[in-house]
Amino acid sequence: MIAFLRLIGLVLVVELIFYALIWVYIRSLRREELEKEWDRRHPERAGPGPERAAFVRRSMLGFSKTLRARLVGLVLVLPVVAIVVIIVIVNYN
Amino acid sequence: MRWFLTVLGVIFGIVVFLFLDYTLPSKQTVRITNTYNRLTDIGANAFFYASPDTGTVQNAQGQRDVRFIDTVRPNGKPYVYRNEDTGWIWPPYFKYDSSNLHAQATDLRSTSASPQWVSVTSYGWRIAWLSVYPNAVSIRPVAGPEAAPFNWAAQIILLILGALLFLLWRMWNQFRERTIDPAVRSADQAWDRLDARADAARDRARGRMRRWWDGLRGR
Repeated sequence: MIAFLRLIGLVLVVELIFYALIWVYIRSLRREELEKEWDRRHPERAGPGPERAAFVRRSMLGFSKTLRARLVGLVLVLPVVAIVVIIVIVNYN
Repeated sequence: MRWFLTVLGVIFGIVVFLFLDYTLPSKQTVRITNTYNRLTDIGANAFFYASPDTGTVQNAQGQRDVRFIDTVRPNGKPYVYRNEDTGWIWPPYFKYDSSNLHAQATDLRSTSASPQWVSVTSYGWRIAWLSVYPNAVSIRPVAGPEAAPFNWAAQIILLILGALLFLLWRMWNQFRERTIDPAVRSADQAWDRLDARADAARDRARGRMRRWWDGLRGR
């Protein structure tokens, strides 16, 4: 029983590390894309500035919400499903 | 320094290879000749057995009642598997059906006169002088000694590991591009500004000194 709890704890820790890493990474990609989008739309005001920062901030709000839902599915649920599949294949086949 | 890093890299590569070679499942076509339990001394080679808290009974002398599967390979050489639960942590096979596997293995025993070939999936190494045995995970009957079923599990795991490595590499690149490089650039600029100010101050000071010196010499 202790071993099983340890497995759950370990999987959770690894998942949370990857959750944080992928969270920062995807948001960074998206922010870069938005900055380029601003520069494309407003070539005369291209480059870093308060207007572009506000545009990026506004666009990131909705994105963070949907990203969280997708990441939970990908990082927290998928590995658990994989473990269950391994258990079934190894023990009940 | 260069050769030292090279040696370190080569050692690291070998360790990774051995680790994967030990942990990933491998398939082998064999013929089962016998299955049995044996009280086994577990000493310095404990690393190659299941960790003690996985349900294996161990007595006070450190001996365990381990199930073994004797087999013969198509080339006639013997090969012995152990059959132990892996428990919940490592290696992550989550195997707890070794009794069932043993029943199946016993059912598939055969003699050399009328051989029944099976494909055994296992992980680990057979090191005779250390009494190390690979752990059998599953057994499947196959048509003959030439049958070599494709090892899907190991390929999929390697692909996933490769994808994770690629992801980490991309993450690091993005982090460097968006966080480290701008920080270095702004620090560089601050340093340049400081440097320029120091240069200007020195020029001014030198000009003053020069004038004072020239004045002293009556020019």
